[in-house]
Amino acid sequence: MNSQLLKAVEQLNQIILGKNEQIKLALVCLLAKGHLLIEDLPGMGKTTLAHALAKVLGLDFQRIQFTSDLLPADIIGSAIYRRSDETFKFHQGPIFTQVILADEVNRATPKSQSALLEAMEEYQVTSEGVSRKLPEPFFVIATQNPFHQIGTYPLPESQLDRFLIRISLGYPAQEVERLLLLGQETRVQIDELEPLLDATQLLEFQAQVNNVTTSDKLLDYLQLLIAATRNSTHWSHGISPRGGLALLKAAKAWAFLEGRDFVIPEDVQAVWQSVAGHRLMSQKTSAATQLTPVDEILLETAVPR
Amino acid sequence: MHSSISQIEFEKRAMPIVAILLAHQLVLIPLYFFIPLWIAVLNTLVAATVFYCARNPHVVINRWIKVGVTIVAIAGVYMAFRKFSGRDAGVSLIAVMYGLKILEIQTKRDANLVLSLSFFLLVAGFFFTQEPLIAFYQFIPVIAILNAFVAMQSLEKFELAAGNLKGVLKDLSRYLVIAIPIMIVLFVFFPRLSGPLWRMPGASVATTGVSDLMSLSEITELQTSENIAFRVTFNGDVPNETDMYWRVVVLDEFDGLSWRRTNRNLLPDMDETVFEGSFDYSITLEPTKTNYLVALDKPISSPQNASLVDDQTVRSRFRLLDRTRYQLSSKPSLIIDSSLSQVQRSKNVRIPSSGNADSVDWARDLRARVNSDEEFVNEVLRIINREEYYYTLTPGEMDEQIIDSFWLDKRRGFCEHYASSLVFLARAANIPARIVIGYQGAEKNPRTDYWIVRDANAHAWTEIWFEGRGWVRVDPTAAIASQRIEESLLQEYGQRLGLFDDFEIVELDQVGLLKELQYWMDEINSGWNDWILDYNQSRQRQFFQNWGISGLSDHMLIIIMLSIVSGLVFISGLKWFHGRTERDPLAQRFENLIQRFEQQGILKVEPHFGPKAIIDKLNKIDETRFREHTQVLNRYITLRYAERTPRQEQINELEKALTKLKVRS
Repeated sequence: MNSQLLKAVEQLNQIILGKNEQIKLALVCLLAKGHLLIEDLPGMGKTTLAHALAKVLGLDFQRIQFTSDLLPADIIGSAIYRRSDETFKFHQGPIFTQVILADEVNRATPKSQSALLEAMEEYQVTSEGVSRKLPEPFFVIATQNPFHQIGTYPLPESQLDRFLIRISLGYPAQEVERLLLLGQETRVQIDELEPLLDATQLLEFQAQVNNVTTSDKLLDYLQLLIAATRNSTHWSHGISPRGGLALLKAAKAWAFLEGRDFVIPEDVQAVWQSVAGHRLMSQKTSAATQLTPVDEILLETAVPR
Repeated sequence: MHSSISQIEFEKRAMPIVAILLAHQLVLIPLYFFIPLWIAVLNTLVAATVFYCARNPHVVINRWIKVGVTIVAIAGVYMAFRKFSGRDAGVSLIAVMYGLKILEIQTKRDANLVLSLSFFLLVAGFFFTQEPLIAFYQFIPVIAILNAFVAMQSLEKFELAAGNLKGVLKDLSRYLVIAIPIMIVLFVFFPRLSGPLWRMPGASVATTGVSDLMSLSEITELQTSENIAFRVTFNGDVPNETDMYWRVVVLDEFDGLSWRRTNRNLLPDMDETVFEGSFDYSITLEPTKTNYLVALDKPISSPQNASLVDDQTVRSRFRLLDRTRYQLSSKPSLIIDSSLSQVQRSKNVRIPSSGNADSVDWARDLRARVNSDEEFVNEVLRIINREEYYYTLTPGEMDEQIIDSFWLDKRRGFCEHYASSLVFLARAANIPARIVIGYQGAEKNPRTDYWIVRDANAHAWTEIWFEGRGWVRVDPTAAIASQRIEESLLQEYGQRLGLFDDFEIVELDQVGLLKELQYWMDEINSGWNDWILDYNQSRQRQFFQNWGISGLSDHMLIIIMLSIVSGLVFISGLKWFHGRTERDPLAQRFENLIQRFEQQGILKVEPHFGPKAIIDKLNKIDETRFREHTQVLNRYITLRYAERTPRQEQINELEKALTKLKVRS
């Protein structure tokens, strides 16, 4: 594994206990220039993860709590009249940062949501007819509470597609929870974290991820997986071409994180559930195998030799 | 309009013209041996033009030039043959048209047509010769045609580089492998007609072997040809080689110039009692265009559609226009005609009332001096042996009084001179005698169990009738002393030396390399004749009888044939068949390794396991034991996923490494 990233993962593991997989996926998402969606109940450590990630990587961090009365201007910022020189001056909203945590993104109205989504897609915001570039790197971590849906505006599939990776943290294991109860307050820990990287280094890594080799055999496998979702009876639609690109990007980033400059099928498998899961609707778990249809596809698709 | 033109242009550019030309010319080459030379020249020029135009797209041949060349070429064929029908003219016309057709290739559709026509043209060669060589050659054009078809379907440009050739051949032989079983099934099962359906017109080949007329004055030089006359397989005992006298015709009428065969009566087969001590054999006789069958001295049974004749020869009911195979029995010790009727006797002592007077006097004089007919014959043989009688294949011209000229003056000749002289002298002395024409000796193909008799083995000998002993074979040629046999004959025609008593039979075990090769070729030819060309109705029935199936009707044959063929087509269409053949060798080796892991119960490899997952599982079981496996699998990973274009050597090396990996502990 890439030594600097390995250290980062270790550090994060000390703060968010027992969630190695999710931490790595969050990093992968960042390395692949994607955005992260965390579907979870409150109090699972979403904010901690986002905050710690930003700190370890040496990035700026902002948090927006989405509510039903949140307006686009609250995210983007607005022009305010300055009496001194009688002009309007644009005041940057919280989105002008490197890592942003959009908490409970489904509580806001679609209008506000789309402001965020535009920023995610375009890496710029438009206000008063003027487009403003967002800082680099730009990484959105949005959270969604999938269980209390009354009075919310859940993101439609088309919007979910914009998130490269979706993870859920879930309850910690018993012994991990004990450590949690025994341990320091996380806020103090985060404050004590030393940044291991900086923004320029991260940008360098992102560029390297792009150069990770994908062989024909690997692409064969990728296409087999995508085709399997399209031919499956579980969904009316399979993975979109954008979804396919997302899968490739995430697999590349995973390979890079593992310290390789080429992708192997195991990389694709590692990111499969978190990339494909939210892009495919029905997530009914089979009673017998405890597997989602997305997992089943992974098991049923043979790796081309 | 514009778009359609550019479509044609596009198709033309993508055309694998080299592959098509290659197939086209390879198809034509065997025909060039049989049709006029100018057609070959014309076709080659046309092909060269097409090649040039393909390289220089701005050069376009005017349509009227094409029309003109075609008309001239057709006229040329007509000039050469004065007709368009018949084998030679027909094939020449087809070859010309096919050769010019290549000018017309504009679209893929045209190319498809020409290539499909090529399969038809392949058959035309068989009109002229059905040698195994041409049949084997035809595989080359077949591959070339298939290659052109494949090249037309592929996006890449066709390049006939040496490195590429191997791959191309490998791909194409796969199609042939699928096609060959179907070809064999069609060949074996397709119902055969009992007789030939048609005969190729104009295929008149000069007859070989013996004729039923022997005219000494005309022969000044005997050509010995190495052509094969027939092949013999003995069932059981084999007679001594010096006793291998193969009877064909008996000549018993002499008009002073030539010997003729007189009309004869048919004989029924001998009854079972004489079969004791006989030889059973089968003969494969090359076409002679006569009715005479070859039989070992002296035949006692006759094959189907043939019967014994009372001069102890065998006649077929039909002229032998095709290679014929038949079974016979012969008994050399059989006594024939122990008593001779007056008519028979007078017929066999008849000589022309005038001519050869000196010889007649000589014979009568000799007979007066000896006590018996036997002594007379022995005396003549003794004279041939002691006095200056020479054996030569170039005796030179004889005078009109042939017997006088040869016997008393020239004293140089070959078997026919000696045989006719002895018979003439015996008859002059009132001893019944006749000439037998046939073959003497045989040559065993040491590679197999059959004997070869060639045209060079053709021979003439005599039969003299003695009271109580019947017709006795006397071979005057055999009496010639060895020092008086022409030296060139000794060297070139060692085969004929079996004729002479003074010579030992050539040891056939000590054969040179060339001879060995000849035998080998003959074995192929014989098998080809027996099982491919002569696979007729009876052969087909015999074939099925060997498998314990008899009485198959033609309907049944067709049904069996169609079901097997559709079965084969079905199998070759199955997905697994293609999956198996199209898988690359590296993947195959990897799959084998996985199978070995599973067979040894080490690891159950799910289809979704990548190579990395397999390594992890192995290391979990025993890291040290599988260290080598890990290494090789890591190389596999690198090759499969890290290299966009791995080099062939790397692949080959890894294939070897994968095969070598031991799985058993």
